[in-house]
Amino acid sequence: MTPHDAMLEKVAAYALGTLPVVDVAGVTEHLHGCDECTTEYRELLSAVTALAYSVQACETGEEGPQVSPLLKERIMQRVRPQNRIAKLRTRPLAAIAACIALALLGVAAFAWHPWTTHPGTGIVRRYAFADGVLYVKKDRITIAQRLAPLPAGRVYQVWTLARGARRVSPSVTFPATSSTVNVAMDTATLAAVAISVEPAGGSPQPTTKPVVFVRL
Amino acid sequence: MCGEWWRVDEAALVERIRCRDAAAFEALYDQYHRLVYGIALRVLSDVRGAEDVTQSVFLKIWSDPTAFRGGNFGAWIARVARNRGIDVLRGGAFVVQGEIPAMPSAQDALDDYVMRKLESRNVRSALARIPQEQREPIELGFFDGLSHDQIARRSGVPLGTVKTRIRAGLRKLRAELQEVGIR
Repeated sequence: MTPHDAMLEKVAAYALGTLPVVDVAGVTEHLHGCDECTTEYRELLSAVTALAYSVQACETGEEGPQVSPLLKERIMQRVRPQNRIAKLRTRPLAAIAACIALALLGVAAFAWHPWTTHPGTGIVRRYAFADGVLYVKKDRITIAQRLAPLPAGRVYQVWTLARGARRVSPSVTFPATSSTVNVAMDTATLAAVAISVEPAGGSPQPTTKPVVFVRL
Repeated sequence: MCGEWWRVDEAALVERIRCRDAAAFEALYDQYHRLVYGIALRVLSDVRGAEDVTQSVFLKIWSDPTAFRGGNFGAWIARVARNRGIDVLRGGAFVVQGEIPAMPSAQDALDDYVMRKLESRNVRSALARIPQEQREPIELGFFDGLSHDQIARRSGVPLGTVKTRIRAGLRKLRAELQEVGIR
């Protein structure tokens, strides 16, 4: 076995995470100067990551170990509250005004929308955001909004993100004067809804940062 | 909100987490919690322990997103979960540093999206095609955190043979994955 063969074995241990700590610095330095070992590391790291994926927990409904949904709640509770509390502390009047506005928007949307006249036609999920409310039904989303007026030639555009998708998909555009927007769609795999300001006619992909981003 | 918000890639999500974007954190959790939990469960063989590890890994990302220094996120978080699980086994402290060196060559080691699409059972099937004497030291090293010396003693084979088998086994797994379409 040549010294380089021995190094390749160390590279394998490095990728697997079993290389003794005393050898890590030497292998790291070697990798930066050796194309053959770098390629080997890259390929073996793929194999090690696949090894990790081989034990990944199952999706809901599949047979096998699954992650309790309560765990997500527990973790998100540690992440979300401080954001809300911080905002409310810094802008108490704005928060109160926003609550009142959201309540009014919610009432208006339910009063307006046909499904509220036919109770029992499907479950509606409600998501409040700073300037409005998003309602999600099985076959559509409805946005009740009070977004800021736009300059001429600009519209708001809705974007939807399916679960597991890498990019948002373009949806309808609407002027700031439209207080309620409906989008017919299958919401079974809907993961998020966003709104951005775009040129009239809309864009194939967002050109500005979102003014609304609601993760379902 | 900072970063390319409309493009869901892990680096962009981590960038948004740096801006304290809880929605980005939630998206990252949705994408990776099954992987983290599965690794922790395999290492610890305990549901409660696996949940604790999963929670600590994700909260560590929330509190210190700079711990991810680029490269392949799936490979990185898998290593973090594995190391955290082994730390718990040994009763050690949680240290994220030095998980996977941030070297340019690791950035395209594999595509997270492709890996997510690859079903676990297909990976297990590829793993099952590796000879037992190669698969065993790999699993002992990765999931049980044993050193090469410990694997050699447990398996009753020379240290040099352990090293050779680990490398051969990983290369074989790599080849099997290529058979099912993973580059």
